Amino acid sequence: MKNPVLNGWLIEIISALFILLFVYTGISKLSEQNNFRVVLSQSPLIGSKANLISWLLPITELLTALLLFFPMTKKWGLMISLALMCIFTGYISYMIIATSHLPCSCGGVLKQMTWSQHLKFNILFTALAGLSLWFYQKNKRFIAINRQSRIPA
Amino acid sequence: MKKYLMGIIAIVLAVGFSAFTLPKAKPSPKNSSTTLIWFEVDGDTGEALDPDNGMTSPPLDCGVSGSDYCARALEYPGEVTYDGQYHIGSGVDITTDYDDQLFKN
Repeated sequence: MKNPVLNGWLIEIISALFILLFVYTGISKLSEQNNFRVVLSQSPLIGSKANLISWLLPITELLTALLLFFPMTKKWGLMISLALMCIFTGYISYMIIATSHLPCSCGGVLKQMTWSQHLKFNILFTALAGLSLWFYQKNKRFIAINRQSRIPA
Repeated sequence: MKKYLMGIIAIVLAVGFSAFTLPKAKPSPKNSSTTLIWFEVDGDTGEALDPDNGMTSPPLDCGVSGSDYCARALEYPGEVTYDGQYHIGSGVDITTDYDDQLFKN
């Protein structure tokens, strides 16, 4: 898309969606931290690191939401969002393929989803994160090109 | 301010959704006329192993920390009925409506 205003709006909407997602799941995981830790400990990938991850993950989500909130750090927020979504998607894919018993460690409303629904949800958000970063880079290049081509008075 | 508007709306919505969708935390009975009745639960799912066999105190091998669910408590009267034995009331879901829980030591 060559319209920088539209690109800008898309970046803002996607960032807001990620802020909503991360603040919601971060708060949910912290308020049910004990349950979350118990379920994580049942995962073959996580096991003994469950206590560390049960604190680290929601705090990372909330910090990422903070980075997305401020324009100066939005790019870093989008990059971390993409990384987190790739990790979550990989984890869910592994659990679906490799394990027979699937616990749920999701927060709030997401707990109502099945594992395959959650996988589709994560794939969608991973794509959104990648798309917003791509728009971000396009907008930067557009602005840089226009700055260079400006003829001084 | 305009550039922060969408972020503020997102945060407000997230906090609002969290308040409505998180399970209620009731660690102790509301008043002296209610008591907690304990049911042993499945370690993985948290479902009651025997919904017609509630106890007035939790099993000895349950504690505040552990890797599997051990026992969950519901309030009597209200969520539990009594006819010589304590039963989980109809419409009560022990996986979401519990008032306290312990883990296998």
